[in-house]
Amino acid sequence: VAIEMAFVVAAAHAALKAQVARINALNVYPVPDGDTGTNMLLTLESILEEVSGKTFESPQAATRAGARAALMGARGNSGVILSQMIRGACEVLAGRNTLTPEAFAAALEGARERAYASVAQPVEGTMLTVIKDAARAARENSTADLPTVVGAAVSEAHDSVRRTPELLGVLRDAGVVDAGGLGVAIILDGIYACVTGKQLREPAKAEEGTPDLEAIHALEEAWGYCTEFVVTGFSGDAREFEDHINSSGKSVLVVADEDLVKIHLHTQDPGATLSYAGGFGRLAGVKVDDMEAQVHARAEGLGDAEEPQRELAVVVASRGEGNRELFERMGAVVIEGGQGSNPSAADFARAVEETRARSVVLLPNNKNIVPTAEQVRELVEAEVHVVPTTTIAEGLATMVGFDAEGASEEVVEEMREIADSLRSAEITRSVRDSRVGDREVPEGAYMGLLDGELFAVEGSVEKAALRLAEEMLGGADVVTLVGGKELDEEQLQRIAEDIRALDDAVAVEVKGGGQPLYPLQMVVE
Amino acid sequence: VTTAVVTDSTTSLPPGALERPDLRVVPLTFHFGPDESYRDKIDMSNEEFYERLIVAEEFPTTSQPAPGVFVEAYEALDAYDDILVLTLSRKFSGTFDSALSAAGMVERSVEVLDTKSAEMGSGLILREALREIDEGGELKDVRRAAETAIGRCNVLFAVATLEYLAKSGRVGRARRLLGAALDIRPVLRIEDGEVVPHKRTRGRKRQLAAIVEEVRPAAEAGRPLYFGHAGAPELLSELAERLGVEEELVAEIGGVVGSHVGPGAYGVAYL
Repeated sequence: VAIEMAFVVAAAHAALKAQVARINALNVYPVPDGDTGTNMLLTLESILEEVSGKTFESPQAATRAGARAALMGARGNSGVILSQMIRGACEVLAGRNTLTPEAFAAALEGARERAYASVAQPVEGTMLTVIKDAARAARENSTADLPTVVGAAVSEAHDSVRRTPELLGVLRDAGVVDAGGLGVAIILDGIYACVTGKQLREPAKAEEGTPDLEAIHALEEAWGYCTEFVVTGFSGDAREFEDHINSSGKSVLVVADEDLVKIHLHTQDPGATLSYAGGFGRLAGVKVDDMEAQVHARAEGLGDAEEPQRELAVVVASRGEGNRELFERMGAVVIEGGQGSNPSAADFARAVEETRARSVVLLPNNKNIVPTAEQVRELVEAEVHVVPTTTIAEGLATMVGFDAEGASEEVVEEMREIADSLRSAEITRSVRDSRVGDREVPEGAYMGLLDGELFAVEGSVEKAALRLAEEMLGGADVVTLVGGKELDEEQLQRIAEDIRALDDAVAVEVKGGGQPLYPLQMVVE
Repeated sequence: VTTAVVTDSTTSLPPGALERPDLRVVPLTFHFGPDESYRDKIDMSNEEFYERLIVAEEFPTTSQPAPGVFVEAYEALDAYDDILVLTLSRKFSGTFDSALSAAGMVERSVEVLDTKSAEMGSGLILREALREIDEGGELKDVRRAAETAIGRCNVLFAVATLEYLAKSGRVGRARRLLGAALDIRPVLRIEDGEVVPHKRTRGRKRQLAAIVEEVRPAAEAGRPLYFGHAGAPELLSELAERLGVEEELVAEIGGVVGSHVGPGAYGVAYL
């Protein structure tokens, strides 16, 4: 059997892409941060990239590829849950040669199981409820034909989305349905369109998921020959091809685009790789550089170019140039990403591997990135410790505990202790009129969030900062203010003065972080 | 056979030590600029010193005693058969070398020992040596008592800033704490005669809590604690209170060590 997955994924992706703005706009709790749709879309995009143009020799190969791509590409909280649904469905479908009504119902059931298992405390009125209801509808109709079963699931999914405000108070207060739940229903729409043979809009190409070879080159180590080429008119077993290339070198990238496959790798034997690849199509754009010669020329006998393996490293997700510098000065590896642009588990995994450390601490610095970071341990060899920091300011304060020369267990413990003992607050601007709990939040108001919960709604950053400081200062020692892109230096200093005036025993430290969306983050120790 | 002890001014002196005829203290000196030199703990009150240290534009420098000053001290003790010299860590100062070359200039039995510590740490070591003398021990017994104390001595201290240690070049293995992007107020230790990081902390309270956590077992076991501060007595009282002990031994850290740890430093030594 030859299995193609791409058309189903493409259909789901197209459906979601058409509605991503609508889903983002629904996202209200606890911050109207608006990236649920984007995160789900990016997760699907990574699968699409993995499977497009490929024919898999077996359902096992196809579903393995799909599940892995979902795991690698999962972004944000909703993306991680979606990736678990896909994984659950793939696990069921691995044992089926055709998509029968029964197989479809079982796949949704698998999706439901994995999704519920992935969260510590399942909350109803979310995407979990929607997949559960859709799975039930499919099972109840599984004696009918495939379009009927899928149709029943879709229609129940949309009904379920409409019911989410009844189950979840925050949605009811805000007058919206659940964003992630809607995303699930829309993905099912796409699948329905696909199985009923409806004409689909050509899915737009993934623009952001394309790896940037330049950037990777800047980071990679010098070893062997840097080899790049393209295989055109690719035919043959894509999985086997990729496995072989992956095992032939380091820094491997295989990017498939229809029947065109781009390859980048570092290998000691470029000739062998090229002649192997020649068996799958025509080679084009071959470029081979001797990395070691380049490095030797550069180093001019300055000693060994190989870095020794490190015991412990830290990888952080952060936004803003100032924050990047602060983290790097304290010895962290920074990947760009945070509110509005969540990094994927693969982004983390790549950074973890580049540290070459035996043990790596991850600081997600955002609530929605914590689940992504948790997935990284399945993707890398290094021992991964996630210290679940939820703001950049908290991450910076936690970095103080990092000591690259310390015993790694003790350092990790120390960092956890610091993170646990902090109080963290952030100020963001409401993007729409909404209601959080019993509070009206008008569009444009500054929302002060304390330990993730809405604490103050004020007309200015200064007022919100002061309200938070008054609440947090009791017994405090050090307050660190991290100013965002939208706050100028003068405002930041004025806020610092106001806080000093509240309690002169408190040390107030001010840093320009440059993060978007949050004019101010603060952490109190 | 009688034994006397010579130590340098960076040793915190236990109560009564100054009145003893069998103990001589040799001062190091600190300098504000090229023209102002002061003998440690003699020529300037600590109060004045820390006031000046805070406003000084340039960091003060310090210097070891000249060998001649040790020679004078040895000669002043001619009523005793043997002399044991206890100096601050060789990794902090050349005082040990001065004492040793002075020993070669006199026709006396003089043994020089590196305490691998300073202030409250060497103070506790001196205390053990004097106790052995009072119990009638000979030079070898006094030396053994001092060596045992050196091996068991712990010094834990907090600095308000690492700036002074860094400038003075005595930062030792705590060098890796420099350049942190956020202000840290670390807890440091003296280990094998040099400064090493114990814990990186931010803020006074964490710093104090880290010391309390480390010292509590010793305090509870009733082991002798020697507190010391560089112009920060209130922090010490808080530390003693948190440890649930009386401040029996309290040293005021003088100008020489104060120049290196900076104002606001405090700590505790225990055996």
